[in-house]
Amino acid sequence: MRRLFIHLLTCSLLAGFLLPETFAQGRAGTPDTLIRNATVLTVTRGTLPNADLLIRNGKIASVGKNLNVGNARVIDATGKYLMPGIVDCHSHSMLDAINEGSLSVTSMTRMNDVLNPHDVDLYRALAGGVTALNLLHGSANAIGGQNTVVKIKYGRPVKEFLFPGAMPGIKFALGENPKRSSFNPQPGQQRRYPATRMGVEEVIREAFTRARDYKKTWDEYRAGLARRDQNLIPPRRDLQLEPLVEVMEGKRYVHAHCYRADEILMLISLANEFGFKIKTFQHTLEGYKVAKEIAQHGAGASIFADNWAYKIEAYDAIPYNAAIMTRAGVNVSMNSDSDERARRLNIEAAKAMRYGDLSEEETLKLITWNPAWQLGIHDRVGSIEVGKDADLAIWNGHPLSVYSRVETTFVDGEVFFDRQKDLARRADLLKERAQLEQAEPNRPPSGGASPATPRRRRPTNHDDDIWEGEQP
Amino acid sequence: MRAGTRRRWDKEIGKPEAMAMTRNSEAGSGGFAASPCGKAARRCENLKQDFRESRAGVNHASLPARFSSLSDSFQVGSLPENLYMRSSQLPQGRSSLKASQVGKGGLPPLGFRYRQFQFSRSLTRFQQGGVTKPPSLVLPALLLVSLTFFLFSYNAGFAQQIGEPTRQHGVSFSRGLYAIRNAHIVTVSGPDIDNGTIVIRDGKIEALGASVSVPSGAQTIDARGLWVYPGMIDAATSMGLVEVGQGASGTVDTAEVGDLNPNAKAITGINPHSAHIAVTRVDGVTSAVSMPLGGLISGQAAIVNLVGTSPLEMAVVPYAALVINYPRAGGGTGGGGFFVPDQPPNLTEALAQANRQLEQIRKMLRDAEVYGRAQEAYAKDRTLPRTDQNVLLEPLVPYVRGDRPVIFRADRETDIRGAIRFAEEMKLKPIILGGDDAGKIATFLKEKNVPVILTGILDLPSREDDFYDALYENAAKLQQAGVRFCISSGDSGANVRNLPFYAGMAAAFGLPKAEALKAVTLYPAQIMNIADRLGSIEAGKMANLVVTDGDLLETRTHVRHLFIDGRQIPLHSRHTDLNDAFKNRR
Repeated sequence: MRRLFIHLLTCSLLAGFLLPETFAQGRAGTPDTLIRNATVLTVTRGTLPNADLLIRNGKIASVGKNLNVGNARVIDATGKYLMPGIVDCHSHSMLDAINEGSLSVTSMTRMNDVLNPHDVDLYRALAGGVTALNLLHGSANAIGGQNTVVKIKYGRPVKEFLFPGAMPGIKFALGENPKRSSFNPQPGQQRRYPATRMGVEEVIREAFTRARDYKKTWDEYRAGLARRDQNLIPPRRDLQLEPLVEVMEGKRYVHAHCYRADEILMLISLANEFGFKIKTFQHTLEGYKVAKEIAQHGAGASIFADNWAYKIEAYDAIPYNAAIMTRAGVNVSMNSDSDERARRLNIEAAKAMRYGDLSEEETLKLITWNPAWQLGIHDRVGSIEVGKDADLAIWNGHPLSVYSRVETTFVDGEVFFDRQKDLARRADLLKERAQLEQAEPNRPPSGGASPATPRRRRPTNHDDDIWEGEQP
Repeated sequence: MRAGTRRRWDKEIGKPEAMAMTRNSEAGSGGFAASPCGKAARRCENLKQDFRESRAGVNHASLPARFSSLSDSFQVGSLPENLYMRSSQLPQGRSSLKASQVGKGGLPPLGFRYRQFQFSRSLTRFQQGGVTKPPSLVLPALLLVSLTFFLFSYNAGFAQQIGEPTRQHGVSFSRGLYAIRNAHIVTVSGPDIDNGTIVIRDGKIEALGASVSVPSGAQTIDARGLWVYPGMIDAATSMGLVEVGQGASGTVDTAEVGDLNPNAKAITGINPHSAHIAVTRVDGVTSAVSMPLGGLISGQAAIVNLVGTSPLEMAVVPYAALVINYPRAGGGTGGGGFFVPDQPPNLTEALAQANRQLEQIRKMLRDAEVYGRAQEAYAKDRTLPRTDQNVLLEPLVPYVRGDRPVIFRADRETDIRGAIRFAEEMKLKPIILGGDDAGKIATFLKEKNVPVILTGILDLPSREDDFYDALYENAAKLQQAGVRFCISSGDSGANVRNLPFYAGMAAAFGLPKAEALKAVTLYPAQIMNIADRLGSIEAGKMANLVVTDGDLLETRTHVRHLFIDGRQIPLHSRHTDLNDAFKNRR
C-alpha cells in the first residue's frame, strides 16, 4: 500500500516534464530487480558463487542463494560476474572547463558550476562498469578548485548526478604543473608565481596562513555572538579562504596532484604545520619511495597503473607502485584521469597482479572500496553489502580478465547501460543517421562557409590533466 | 588515364631525349656534379652491405665501428641539390620533357623544398667551415662538451638518470645452446604442443616437439606448468626514438624538420640504451617496428629486436618500410602532438590543403621513379650520362618500385580509400596504419588485399555518435571479412608493453582468442615480411620466445623467461630495479 502510494507520488512528480530517453528502467518505487545466479564479487566479504542479489528502491536489499523472487524483474546472470560499480577517483569527464589557471590559488572555483551531463564519454564509462566519478579541477594551480563527486546518471538532469553525502573536496597540485614549466608565457605576459617547488610550498603556506587568520576572525565573531556582545560587525566573507578553513576543520578533503617523493613529503609536513590531513595524493608516481610516510599521515594514494616517462617527473614511475604502497598500509586506488582509460579500469587494476602480485581482492579494492573511501562514500558504494546503493555491473567473465566486458551497469538500481539493448538500437540509429545526413540542413553546402573539419583521433595515453588548459 | 600517362613516362625514360635531359640538366647545374657523391655512394653501399651482413649474422664485431662512418656519408648539403632540384622543375603534366625546361637548374620553386634546401645549405656551410678550417672557438667548445659528457656520465648512477644502467646493457647476452623442457608450447602457426621441448642453438630454434631430445651441453629450463609463446611484435612504435616526450626535448628524435624526409631512418636514431627497451621486453614484446612520425613523408621504419648494444645489433630489417602520413583534411594524422595549431578554417580549405600535400608526395615519388630509372640505365650502359647521387630520392627507389612496403597512416574511411587509390596510382605496396574506420570498409580492404596495422583499439571513438565499442570491435570486423591485419599499441615506446591488452580487448569484443594472439605475433611478422624469421615457434626461425605462467594476453600473467635472438635475457628493467630498491624500505 505504502509502495503504491510512493509510486503514484513519483509518477505525478514526473508528469510535469519530459523524461530524457535513456535505458533507465524506473526509479525508487518501481518493481524490485533480482540478479540471479551470478558469481558475486563482494570485495569486502569474499566471492559468493551462484548467488542472487535483490535490488529494492535503489538499494541492495539482500544477497544470498535462492532468494525469493516475488514480483521482481529477474535478470539471469548464470555464468556471469557481479561486482560493485567502479569508482574513478580522478576524472575530468563532463567538465566544460578544467583549469582556472590565472591565479595560483583558485579555491573559490567549483567544478559543480561546469558540469555537462550530455558528454557521451559518460556513457562509454558506464559501458566499462564505472558508476561514480571524482571530477577534479586541473593541476595548473598550487591550490585549485573544489571538486564534485557524481554518479553517472547519463541522460538525467545534472542535479541528479551529484553524489548525495559525498565529502566536499579540493584539488591541490605540486611540482611541475603549478610551476607552469611547460607553458611558455605569451609575449608581454608576466610569468606567474610560483616557478619553483620552493614557491609552490610558499603559495600554499601563505594561503593557509591567511585562512587561519580568517578563521580566527570568524571564531571571534561567533564567540562574541555567543556572549551576546553588542555592536558586532560580521566579518566579510572570503570565498577563496572559506574552503581552506573547511580543510582545516576536517570538513573538506584535499586531493593533491603530485609526482615526486620530495613534493609528497613537503605537503605532509605543511599539512602537519597547519593541522589538517591530506585525503589523497593523486598520481603519486613516486609514492613507492615514501610509502611509509604516506601511510603514517593516513593519506590515500590514487594512481595510474603503469603510465610513465611522459615527462621527466614521470621517469621514475613504476607499475609496482600500487603493490608497494598497499603493502605499506596505504589506501590505494587506480584512477583514469582520462575518458579513454576510464573505460577499462578493470585492466588497469589487474596490472597490480602482474606487477607486485596483489591478491584478487586487494586488486578489486583498487577500483571499488578504496576510491570510495578516498571520497568519503564508502558507506554508500564500493562493495556489495546489504543496505548499500545498488551501483553494480554485470560482467560476462571475471572483471580482472582482459577478455571480459560489461553486460549491464546499474546506478541506484536502475539500468544505465545494457549491451543487448545497445546492440538492439544500432540498426535504427544507423538509419536515423543516414536520414539526418540527407536532411536539408546537413547536406554539404553548395556555397558559403563549409562545415568545420572533423575532430582528430582521441588517443589512448592522453591525459586530460596533462593537457588541461590547452583544450579548445 | 593514369596508366596511360605512366606508360608514356616509361617509354620516355629510355629515349635519347630523356637521357639528354639528364645530361643537359647536369651541365646546367654547373659544379654540383661533384666527386664526393660517388664516394658517399660507395659508403652508403658499404653500409647496406653491413646491414646485409648483420642480417646474415656475419661479422658482428666489426659493425659498430663501420657504422660510425655513417655520419661521414651524410654530408647532406653537398649532395642532393642538383638532381633533385632539376626534377622539381619537371613539367607538371609529365607528357613531355624538354631539356630547355629542366636545364635551368638553380633554385627550387616551392616552400617546403626551399626550406630543406636552405637547411642543407646551412649544413654544408657548417660542415665546410668545421672541416677545413676550424674557427678558434671550436676547440674550447669541444673541450667543454667533453667535460660536460664526463660530468654527466660521472653522475649517471643517480636515480633520475636517462637511459638504462649497465646492469641491463653494456654486456652482450651471448647466444648459446638452450633447451626449454616440459612446456606447453603455443606455436601459433601450428597446433599447440603439450609437455614439449624446444631446443635453441646459435640464435635459432633448432627443434621442437613432444619427443625432442635435449642435446648434451644444453642449458636446460624446466618449464613445467609454464607456457611458451613466440615473442610479441609491435608493428607501429617509435621505440628508441624518444625517451621522455615532454620536458626533455633532447631525447626526442621522432620528427625531422620539413615535410618530406624519406632519408630519415629510424635505425639511425634508435637509442639501444633507452630504458623503454628493457621495460618493454620483460613484458613479452620482443620486436618492434620503430618509425619516424613527422611531416608527410616521415622517413623509413626499422624492425628491431629489443636487445643489443648498437642499432645494428638490434636490427632485424634496418630499412623495412617507408612511412607516409596520408594527408588528412583538417590535419592531425601525424604523430606530432594532440593539439596541432594549423587547423584550416573550413572544410573547403582543409580539402584543398590535403590535396596540395598529396601532390607534394606524388611529385617526390615520381621524381624518385625517374631517378631510379636513370640510375639503372647508367648502370647498364656507362656511356650514358651519369646521374649524381641524390640522398633524398635514392632511398625512395625501392619503395616506388614496389620492392618494399609503404605504410600510410590513415584512420578515416575517406583517407584509407584515398591512400589505397594513391598507392594503386603510384604502383606502391601499401600498408594502412591506424585504420580506425577500417572495419567499416572491410570488404573494400579485402578486395584490394591491403593489410592494416590497427593502432586505435584503445582509442576513444572520434565521433560522438560512434558506437561505444566501435574501435574495440574493429579487429573482429576485419578478421570476419578476411582482411589481413595486425594489432599494435601505436605507442612511441613507454607503453608498448601494453600490447597484449590491446589484443585482449579486441578478443573481448568478438575477435577469437587465437586470432588475437596471432594479431600480435604472426600477423605483424607477415605484414612486415619477416614471417620467415619471426612470429611463430617453428624450427629454423629466430629464437624470440616468451615463457609465461599463463595466457600471454591476460593482464595478470607473468613472464618467467625470455629469449631474444637466441640470447637468454634477464628479466630486469629500470622498473624492476626501482622496485627492488624501494620495496623493502621501512
